[in-house]
Amino acid sequence: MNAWVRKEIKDSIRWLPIGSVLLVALMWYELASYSPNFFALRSASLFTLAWFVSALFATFLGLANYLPETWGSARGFLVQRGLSLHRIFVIRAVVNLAVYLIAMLVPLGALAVFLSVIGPKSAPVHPIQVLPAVVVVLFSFSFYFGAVAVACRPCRWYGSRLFPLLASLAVSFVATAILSVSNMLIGCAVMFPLGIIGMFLLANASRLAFLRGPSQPAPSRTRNISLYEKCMMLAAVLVATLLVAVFSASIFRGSYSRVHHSVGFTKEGMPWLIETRYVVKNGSGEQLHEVKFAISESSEDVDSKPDVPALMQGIGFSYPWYYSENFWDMLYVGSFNSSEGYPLNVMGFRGLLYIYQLDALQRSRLIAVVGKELVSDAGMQQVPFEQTPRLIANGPNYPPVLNGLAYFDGSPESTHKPLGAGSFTIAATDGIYHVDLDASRIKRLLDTNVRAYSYSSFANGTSDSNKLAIWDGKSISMFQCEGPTLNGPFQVGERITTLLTPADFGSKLQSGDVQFDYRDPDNWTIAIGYSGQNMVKQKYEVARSIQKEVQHYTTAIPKSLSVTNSAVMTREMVIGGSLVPPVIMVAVGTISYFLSLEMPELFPALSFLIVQAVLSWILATLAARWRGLSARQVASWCAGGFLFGLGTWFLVLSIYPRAIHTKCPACNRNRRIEREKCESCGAGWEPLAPLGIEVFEQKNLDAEAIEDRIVLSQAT
Amino acid sequence: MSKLAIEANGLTRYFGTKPVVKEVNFSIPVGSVVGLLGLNGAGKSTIIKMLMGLLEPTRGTCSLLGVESTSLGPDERSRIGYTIEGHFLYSGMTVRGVEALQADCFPKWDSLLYQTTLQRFGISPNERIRNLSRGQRAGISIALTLSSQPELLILDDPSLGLDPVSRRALNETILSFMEPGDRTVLLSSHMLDDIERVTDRVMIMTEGRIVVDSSLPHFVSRLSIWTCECSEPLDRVHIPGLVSRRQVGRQSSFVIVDVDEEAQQALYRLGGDSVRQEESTFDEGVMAYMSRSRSAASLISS
Repeated sequence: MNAWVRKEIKDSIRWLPIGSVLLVALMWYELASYSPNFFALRSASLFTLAWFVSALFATFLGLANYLPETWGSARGFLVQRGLSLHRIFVIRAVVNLAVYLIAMLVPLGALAVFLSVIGPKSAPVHPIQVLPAVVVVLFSFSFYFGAVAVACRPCRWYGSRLFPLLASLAVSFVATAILSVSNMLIGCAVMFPLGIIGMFLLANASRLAFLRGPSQPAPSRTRNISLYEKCMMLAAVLVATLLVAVFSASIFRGSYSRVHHSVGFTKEGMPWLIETRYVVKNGSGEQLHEVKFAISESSEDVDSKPDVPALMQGIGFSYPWYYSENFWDMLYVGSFNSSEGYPLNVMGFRGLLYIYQLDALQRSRLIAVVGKELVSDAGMQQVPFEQTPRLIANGPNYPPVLNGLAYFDGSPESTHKPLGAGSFTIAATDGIYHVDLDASRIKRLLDTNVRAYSYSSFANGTSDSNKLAIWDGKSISMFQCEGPTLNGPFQVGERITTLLTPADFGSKLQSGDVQFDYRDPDNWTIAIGYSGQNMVKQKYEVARSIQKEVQHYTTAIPKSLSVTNSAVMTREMVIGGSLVPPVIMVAVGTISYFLSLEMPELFPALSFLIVQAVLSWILATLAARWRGLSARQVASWCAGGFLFGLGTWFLVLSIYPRAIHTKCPACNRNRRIEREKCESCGAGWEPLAPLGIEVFEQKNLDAEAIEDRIVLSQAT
Repeated sequence: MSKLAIEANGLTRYFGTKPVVKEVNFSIPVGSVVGLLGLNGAGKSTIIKMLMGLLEPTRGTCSLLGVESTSLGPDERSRIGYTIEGHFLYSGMTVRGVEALQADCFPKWDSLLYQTTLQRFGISPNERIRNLSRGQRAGISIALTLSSQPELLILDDPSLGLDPVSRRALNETILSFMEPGDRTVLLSSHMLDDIERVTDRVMIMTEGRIVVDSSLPHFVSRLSIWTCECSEPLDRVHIPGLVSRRQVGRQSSFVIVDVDEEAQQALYRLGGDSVRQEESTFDEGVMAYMSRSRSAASLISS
């Protein structure tokens, strides 16, 4: 076996440079586009690059390993030895895994070292950015097994031969869970075990394809295909169907007109319906016109009026953290000019803010790290914020210098001292902070629980002063703010007022269903939207105060208009909904139900499932009968059609070979060539008609003569 | 009754809708040397591949050393030697490397025999396979097969690419391989003199079926060869047992199996006094069977 291991190492190791060189070349190209400051370098781009190269290299290894053995007599030479095919498969898998990992992980390791050298002092990068790429490389080895199955399955290239690679794609796709911004740990906990199971199934499917491959099954024989291979082909067909569905939906989505309705409120708090018409061509939308209608509070009547009043500008809330922040990358928080007019970039990473200054050559250098308690140089121990805070006010807003760029002369002073740093204000989960870079100091301006905040100019008609709205989970507090100006920093004044919010304010804020208008403590409106039967926003619960008089009422989008909204959704999802396998649609529906996700397009699409399921059922039944399967198998594939959708018929055709028939001499009806008895009359195969020239010697006499010879030979 | 080394029952194989091997039945006892003959495309290699478990039969079964071919494991395979048609070898390896690879997989590997066989074919152990001639590759292939000391040897056209000296060496090797008496050889070849020299039984295939399965003397004894100058069109006369007819100039030659009175009368009706019986030979008999499905006449005259 050692000789065989050596042979496999020799065979595979020659391909190692190909994978490494390809990865290094593409990484080099990728890094060059982010050079010299690497502000835009993201783990997702490294992940995508590694996914592409590793999938390509693993596929190449699998094909290079196994495809030549399908040509000529190579398989015979391989099979005919005192070493089981199973063991050969295992040796090859281990050797190729080692070669693959060396080829992929060495360049990625080198990249991690490079990032650790330049980051975070010279660029906002971190070696951990490479980790998602490492994970996708591990899962992309599934392409090796997929390629083995491609090489060994006796199918046509223009048929289902390449389909196992789609199963590999599905397995490697689980690695994307590591890029999930909001639910990475849960995503990985669910997806990675699935990926490992998928890899195991794929490995076994390819192993069995390899074991059986050399025997080249008879064209008509109903192969005893293993469950592993069925699972592999099922996954492949589901992926293919999904891709077709997504592609079809994207084409369909490319050109349509759309009407969107929403509710706005006047400064008196009167509801108005806003109808916006769009036309979308080739995926890019264009707004045609917007019409506003008054909605009567007492009924659903809509009345178009020529003199449209100014609608209130709802105040948008922000969270003191970032949805887009992941575990791997430094996040762009904002940028402003230093007190000397040089550009500063603020990056966030795990609760700390990193301040970078750019030079004339676009190189960056870290000038400060902001933690919850202090502003320091890089390398000092810092207490991070609970979440990366948001920049809410830059400034004072210093004017830029002429070229807007600094010059680092390389002296110790220039590397440590910023060229006029400035100050800025941030919103964190536990309050509002002011950071003074010149004094290297951070000060908490407001000590309160911040679940959401809004800082903008609240036009009240009497003053230009700014207001800060902070939602602490129960109420919205309004604060008067000052600055920042060239003469003074940002300041938070006294609390103006506090407005209690409903219990579901937070969830509705998250889904973007809150409209908030504030003019002064006596005049304000809070409108919360609710979804109706068609998952379209149909009504708003409004709380409004006019001259201290607080009213609570409900206003609704008329039903006829909400149907128009949902009809648009339905048209968009017809193709996707009628192509996506029912089992996936049901799974998505179930998950979205339990996660309380609002998916307006799901319900219209569900209505097409029945049509799809029935059609799939018919097609799968026809395909199963065409392949000459038993009644039990036909019944199970009927159920399969119901579950797996339109791809099932192709699944049946790809798993089972064509049934070949010949005329039965006994009943003259078609019978399967591989069966011993006719399916119609039960007759066996008749002996071949003699040609009259046969020469057959009595075999037993022959055998006796040989036995005598053996005895004689042994005696002598 | 002796043990069977090879057995085939109702062996049938289709490629697409075409049957290539049809209802083949035979058994080869341990200790026999059997030649398998037939034209290209007659089904010899297909039968061998089914025996070796490389092809799945459409119908029927076959077994080697008592184990069904589709279930042959490493233990059984290490008792079987198989030279593949075309003498496939890993071209990037050296002759010594190939030996190491095979020795690793066959417990009874005889390194001395391998070296001796290489010397016979004039091959250096350090040569790369890709640099060798076709005949030298054939030599290595045979050396690899024999050095595993198999109980059953299946040779698929082993003399392909061999020069006359090497062919003789191969024949002698097979004969010496059979000396212990309990070894079995199935030899598929187009070289009729090799088959005649080495085997004690012959099977002839035409169009996917076995039409001859007999010891050589018995086969020759059942055939008779007749020549005549025909006076009547041949298609008007039915000759029972006619295997084939060959025409050279005005002279027609007939190979007939189990000639009887009716066949002789038909011949005399065709040729009258010119009818003569010639001496039956193995070569002529085999050629007669082979040329049934394909003309063996001169390409110029046809």
